[in-house]
Formats: sequence, structure tokens, C-alpha cells
Amino acid sequence: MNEKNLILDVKNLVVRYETEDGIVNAVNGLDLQIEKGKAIGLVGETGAGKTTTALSLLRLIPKPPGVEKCDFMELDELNMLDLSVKELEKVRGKDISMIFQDPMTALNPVFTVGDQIAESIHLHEDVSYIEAQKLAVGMLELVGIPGERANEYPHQFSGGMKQRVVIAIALACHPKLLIADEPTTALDVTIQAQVLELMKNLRKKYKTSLIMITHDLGIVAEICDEVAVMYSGNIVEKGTLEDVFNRTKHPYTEGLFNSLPNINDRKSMLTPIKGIMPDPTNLPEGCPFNSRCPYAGEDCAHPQVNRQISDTHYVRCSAYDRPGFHINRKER
Amino acid sequence: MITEKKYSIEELQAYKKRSIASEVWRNYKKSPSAMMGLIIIVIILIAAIIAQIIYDYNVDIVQQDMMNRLQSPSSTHFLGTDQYGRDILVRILYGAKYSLSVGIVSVAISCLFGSTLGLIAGYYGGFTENIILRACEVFMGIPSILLGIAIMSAFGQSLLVLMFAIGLVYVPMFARTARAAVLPVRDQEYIEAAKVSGVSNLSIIFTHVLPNSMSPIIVQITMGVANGILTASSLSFLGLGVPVPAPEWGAMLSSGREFIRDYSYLTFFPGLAIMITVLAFNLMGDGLRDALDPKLKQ
Amino acid sequence: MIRYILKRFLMMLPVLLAVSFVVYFLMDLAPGDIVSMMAPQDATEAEIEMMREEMGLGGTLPQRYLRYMVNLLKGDLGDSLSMKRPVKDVFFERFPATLKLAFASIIVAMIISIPLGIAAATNHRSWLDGASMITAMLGLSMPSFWLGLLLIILFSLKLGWFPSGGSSGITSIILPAITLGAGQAGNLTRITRSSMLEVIRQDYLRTARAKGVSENKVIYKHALKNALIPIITIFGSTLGNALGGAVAIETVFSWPGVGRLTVSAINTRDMTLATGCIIMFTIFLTLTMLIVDIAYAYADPRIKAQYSK
Repeated sequence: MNEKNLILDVKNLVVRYETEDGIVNAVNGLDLQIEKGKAIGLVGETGAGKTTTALSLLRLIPKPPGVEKCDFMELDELNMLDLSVKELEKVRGKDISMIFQDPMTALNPVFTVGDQIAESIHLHEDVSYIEAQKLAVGMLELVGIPGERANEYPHQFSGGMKQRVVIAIALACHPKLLIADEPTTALDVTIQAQVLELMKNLRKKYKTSLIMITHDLGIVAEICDEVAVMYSGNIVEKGTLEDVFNRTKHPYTEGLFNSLPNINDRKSMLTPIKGIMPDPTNLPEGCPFNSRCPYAGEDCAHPQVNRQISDTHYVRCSAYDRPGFHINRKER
Repeated sequence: MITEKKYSIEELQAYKKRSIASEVWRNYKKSPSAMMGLIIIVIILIAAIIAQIIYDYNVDIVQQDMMNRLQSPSSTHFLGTDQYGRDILVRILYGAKYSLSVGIVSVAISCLFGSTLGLIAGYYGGFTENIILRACEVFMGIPSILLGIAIMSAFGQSLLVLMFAIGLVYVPMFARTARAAVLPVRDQEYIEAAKVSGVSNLSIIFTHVLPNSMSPIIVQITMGVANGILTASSLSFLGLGVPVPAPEWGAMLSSGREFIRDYSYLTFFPGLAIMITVLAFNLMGDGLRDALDPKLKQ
Repeated sequence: MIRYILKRFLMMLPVLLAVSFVVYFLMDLAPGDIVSMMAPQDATEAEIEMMREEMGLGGTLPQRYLRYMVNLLKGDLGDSLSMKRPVKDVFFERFPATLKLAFASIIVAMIISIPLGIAAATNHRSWLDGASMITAMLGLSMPSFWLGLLLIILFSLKLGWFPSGGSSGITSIILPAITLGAGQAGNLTRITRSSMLEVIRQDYLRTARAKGVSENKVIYKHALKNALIPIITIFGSTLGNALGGAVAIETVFSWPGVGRLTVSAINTRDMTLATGCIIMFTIFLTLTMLIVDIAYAYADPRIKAQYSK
């Protein structure tokens, strides 16, 4: 698989949380491969396991109560599963970094924004703290914040600007892979556009690979090259933008597209997906989408496997074993 | 077929009150330390009451028996005898009366006056609130022990004055707690609605404001008893509380001091009694706070 | 910022005035003033009153109070009957000792409570957490003067390590400071622990970890600075408690501070001294707490930002 020049290669990731109320199966045998320089959107509802997957990639799952199992996890050919704590600390922030959802709480209120950026630089690059602070000012300017503000505290910034600071921290050491967990969900729509624009430009500049976690298909279309749709702890469909948007295969993905309001057809009713995601402490055997799927059949009660549609596109749905099966959504 | 049972408003309200109380009790029971606190308090109360009944002040407590002075703990005198030959255990059991009564009465005073002032301040706001807050600042500015000393000097030393003094010292704390509980409630819209429909202010305070402030006040009460006992014994230790020869625990500690070198048990046991009692009330206060916690949001 | 300081100062003055009145009033009610003690046994009330007038101590309560306050502002607190010296001199001689003790006890309290609180919070629900909380509870519930006597029994009488009284050298401050500090540590430990528990859950710690900051630094640099904020906020009232608690401790350890001075003044019915002590004590306490509050407002970037705009 190395001819593909992967930045991330994960095979069979399983994460569960053992709590007093039961075992929460958050991620169930996930495979993920990302090519260098590409941006992949990780789409799914709340509870699908997107954030857990991201935290697991950074090895930040709290243990207890978390329990992780993985066959294979390599970041640019570095085996993540074998690293010691110290080695992991070196990798975090330098080779792989993460932006979290809520900018309001992501920054430490008692340190200046300049210091928080400089800390990352000072940790990973071989420069003095003064140098790091200068570089931090540079990063601030890069994300569109005047450098003089480096000595100000987080509470003196608006939500959108705080998120820019968070981006500055994450990109300060030019990581190879950036994971962005719903970075614009907590922001106004206009600010959202600005932040996305900023992320696009920085990606281009530093050639950073990106995992964009979101529930918003619009953002995926804006900024990503590939899409992976997650449901109940696993990827049910993955392909290029073209593949997934125009040649949708999985019934769940179809349901997601159908539930988007159609601006051209104001009179039509919204068609949400019936039912709710299965209880992660009590997952059914077989396909987790079974109870909500309009195409459910007998084969759905059996454990599902990935089915390759094309070089770039696969779907996890046993219905495609049935002769002549196709979903209603038309190909474009 | 589901049969419906009609409940009257009174029945429903009574049920609601009962089930809140039993809910709190159920939560309280969950904590072993809270239960221990409660058990200790009950034991102390019972022991104190029994001691009051079976011991005669003049014969058992105060009368000197110089033949038996300064005996170490033994099987006849479990905690030994003091410099006047009096049984220490008996004196401690009898002396519970002072600590408990000061603790409870002073808290009753502080709670009554303080909570009322706090509720009024919080509810009416404006000038009234300002005056009450300033007055609280004045009394809180004087360190509680010194204020207690001043009051005892002014009105003479006796159990009654001590109760009043400590009661006064802790009024500001209750006022603050009550006011803090009222503030989030007073701006609610249902208060506005009640006022507009002509419900009297007093009625509003009692039906809407008071129930919401009960929880912090209840916790403050147990803490107040604990603090009151400590302050009372401090004052008595300094000779400015309950007058000698009453077997108040702090006073016993003080009189045992001169024999501390060779007869340390004279100071050890009364202090231990204070600590256990105060600890029990603190544990109960903590337990109540945790048990009432979800209710605090209501 | 200056305006804030001035405002706080101005608000403090009427409170101090009221305090002085309350204290004066109470002490005045106390039976036995200098004159009636000095007067011959068979003097009549009228004669005593005349003596008061002559000494400038007569008149109604408001008159006496006014006279007292005027003198106070001039720096004259009257003369101590028992010490035969101006109250002002006696007070300021002893006050530094009380301050020293109070600050020493706060240092002891912090040394005990901060590490203990952190350990309890980072080991939430383990035996360490439970043990720390029980210890804190015991510290809270113990009468400080009892602890002082116990420490004297152990460390002075039985072991002979420390003196049991007086203020000769460093060793003599240790036992009283530990006694006073231990009592405060109980409360401070609980506050540190709950503050730390709050902070540990915060998202910004996750950001720090994602940056690659070591776990140690996450706790002791990123978390701790936030967790200490409530402790610093209550430093003023902590100092107030320390100064108040000093009164009993000074008596136990024969520490030459104003607490012990006040108690002995009352016991010898030297009301002028007692009144002066309590009023001055309160004034200094209020002033110190104001300074601490202002220093805190100055130091906390969030509050400072509010006032410089």
C-alpha cells in the first residue's frame, strides 16, 4: 500500500468506554487511509464516533474508562501503537495536531494567546523561548490577527478570533496531519466562511493533510477531496467527493442527502431519516443501520464487510450482494 | 383499561413535599460519613439529656473532692479526675449542655434574623438592600471573636448572653446566604406575573422565594452550629464565655492548662469532646449539602 | 484603576466609622470605667460624674463617642490603665507580632493545603482523596487552642524541640504558626480540591495535551494556575480568619501580640486599652483586606482589563 504514499493508515480500530452504565462501543473496527496532502471529510451524526476516532489518532482517549484495540496505526510510516508517552508527546503538536469544537473553552484563560502559541513552538522546535514568541507573533499574523495582540488574553477575543488562535496553535509547527473537529460549528455563518477560507489557504501553503470532522455536507464540499461517512462507530461509505456526492451508494448517505432542505423546491417536505442511532451499549449484530434502512433485507442481520465499488470508492453494505440492487438516489 | 384516580390539589402538594423530603433523606443515607455524623449527634444529644437528668449540678459537677484529685484515667473514673477531684467524664457529659445549647440557640437566632434580613434585602433591592448589606459589612469587619468579647463585656458573662453574642456574630452570614439565594429568583418572570396579579409581597416571599432558598440555609444552619460551638468554646477558653465553675468544655481546657505538664488528660478529653461534636455537625452539613444538591437547582 | 481604588477606599470609611461606633458603644456599656475604679469607696454617683467631667470623660454617650473619635483621628487612643502608657504605643508595639504570626500561619496553611488539595483532586475517588478529605475535616473541626496545647505537650514538654511560649527567635514561631495554619488548612484544602476538580475537566487542558505538553506540566502549569484563582480571591478573608484566630493562639503560646493584649485588657477591666485594641485591630484588618483586594484586581488580567478600558 506504500505506493499510495499514505500519511495515515489505520486498520481495525476499536474503542470502547467501560462505564458503570454499560460498555459504550464508540468505534467498531474502523479502517482509514489518507493520502498525503489530501483532505478527507469525516461525516456523521452526533454519536457516530467521529471525535472518538480523532482522539484515538492522537492517543488521547482517557484510560480508564477507555479501552483501545488496533491492528495497525501508522502516521507517515511511524508506528503510533508502540510509542512511549514521551515519544507521543513529541509527535503531538508537531506531526499531528487537532482543533477542537468549542473555541470559547479551548484556550487557557490565564495565559496570553502569544504564550499559548509560543509554547507549542518552544516544545517542538529547537529555538529559544524569545524566538518562539517571535514566531508566534508571525503565526498570529498568518491567521489574520494583528501581531500586537499577542500579549492579550483569550477573553479579549471574539469567538471567531479565538478559533483562529486555536488554528494558529495547531499549525504553529507545520504538522503533517491536522484533525479539525467541527471547527466552525460554534461560529456564526459569516465567520464560518472566513475560518474555512483561512484553513484552505493554510493547507495549500503548508501542504497539510486534513481530516475535517463535520456533520455539514456543505463544508465537506467546500474544503475536502474525499469523504468518509461514519455511522455507529464505523465508516459505511468512503470515496472522492465525486464518488460519494454523485454516485452515492450507501442508504444512510442517501438519507443524509435527502434530509438536506432543497432550496429550489421550497414546497417539498423535509424527509428525515426515521428512527435514531442504535444504543452504543447495545449494538445489534449485523448492520447498525438495519432498523432504519428502507432497503433492509435478511442479509442485513449478518456482520457487514467493505465492498469495493471502484479504486477510490467502497461501501459497507451487504445489499450490494443482491443482484441488481441500487438505491433510489440517481447518479449525476 | 387504565383507571384514573383523581387527586385533590392538597393531596398532590402534600405528596410533593413528602417526596422531596424522602428523596433528600434517601440521598443523605448514601453517604457513610454523613450518616456517621448524624449518629454521633444523636448519641451526644441522648447522652447530654441523660446526663442532665441523672447528675445533680451541685453534687456531681461542682462539689470538690480533694482526696481524689488528679487521678489518671481508671476503671472508676474513666477519664480521670481534675484538680478538684471531680470526675472528668461526668463533667464532659454534663457540659455537653452548654455547647449544644449555645450552638443550637445561637443558630436559631442568627438564622431567624439573618435570613429575614437577607430575604428582605434580596427581594426588595435598592436602598433597603444597600443598608442591610452595609450593616452586614460592619459586623463582618469586626473579627468574630473580638465582637463576641465586646458583647460579653457589655452585657455580662452568662450562658444567655453567650447565646445572643454568637447569634449576633453569625447574622451577617445568614443574611448573605439568604440574599444570594433570593437574587436569581427575584428576576424571574413568574415573580413578575405574581406581582402583577396582585399577590402581596409577603405572600410571594413565602410561597416562591423561600422554598428555593431553603437548601443553602439548611446547610448553613448545620455549619452555623459547628462554628457556634467552636466560637463559644474559644470564648470560654479565654475566660470570657460561660463563667467558671460550669463544666463548659472550653473552660475545662483552660483550667487544665496549669497541669498540662504532668496531667495532660485534663486538657485532652474536653478538647476531644469539642472536636467530635463539631466534626459530627460538619459531616452532617456536608452530607446535607450533597443530598440537597440536585434540589438546589429547583 | 485609580478610580476603583478611590471608590473602594471611600466605601470603606463609613463602614469603619460604624464599626468604631459599635465597638465603642459595646465597650462603653461594660461596667467599670477608669474613674469609678479610681474613685474612693464612698464617693457618690454625682461626685464620680464630676470627676469624669474634670478628666474630660463626662457627658452623654454621643458626646463621649465624638470626643473619642476626634482624639482617634488625632492619633490619641487614650491611656492604658494597666500599662500606664498610651494605648497607641502599646498597640503598635504588639501589632507586628500578631501580623508575623498571621502571615506565618497562612504560609503553613498553603504549604499543607495546596499539595494536599492537588493530590486529592488528581487522585479523585482513590484512598488518597478520601484520606485528605478526612484530614481536612478534622482540621476544620478541631478547636485551634486544643491543637496548640496538644502540640505543646508533644513537641515542647515531651520532646523538648520547641519552646512552649514567648517569642525568642525562629523556633518559637513554629508551633503557633503550625497550630493556626493547620486550622485554616482544613478549609483551604477543600477549596483547592474542588477548584482543581473543576479545572481538570476543562477543555483547554485537552488543547494543551494535544499540543504535546507533558502530563506533569498540564497539571502543574496549565491547571494549577487556574485552580489557585479562588484561593487567591479569598486571601483577604483568609487573612481575616488568621488574625481572628491569633487571639486564642496568642493566649495559648504566650505570644506577645495584640490578641493576647486585648484578652488581658478585658480581664483586668482596662477598657480604654481593650476598646483601642479592638477598634485598631478592625481598622487594620479592613485596610489590609482592601489592599489585598486591590492587589488581586491589579494582578488578574481579566479584572485589570475591565478597569483600564
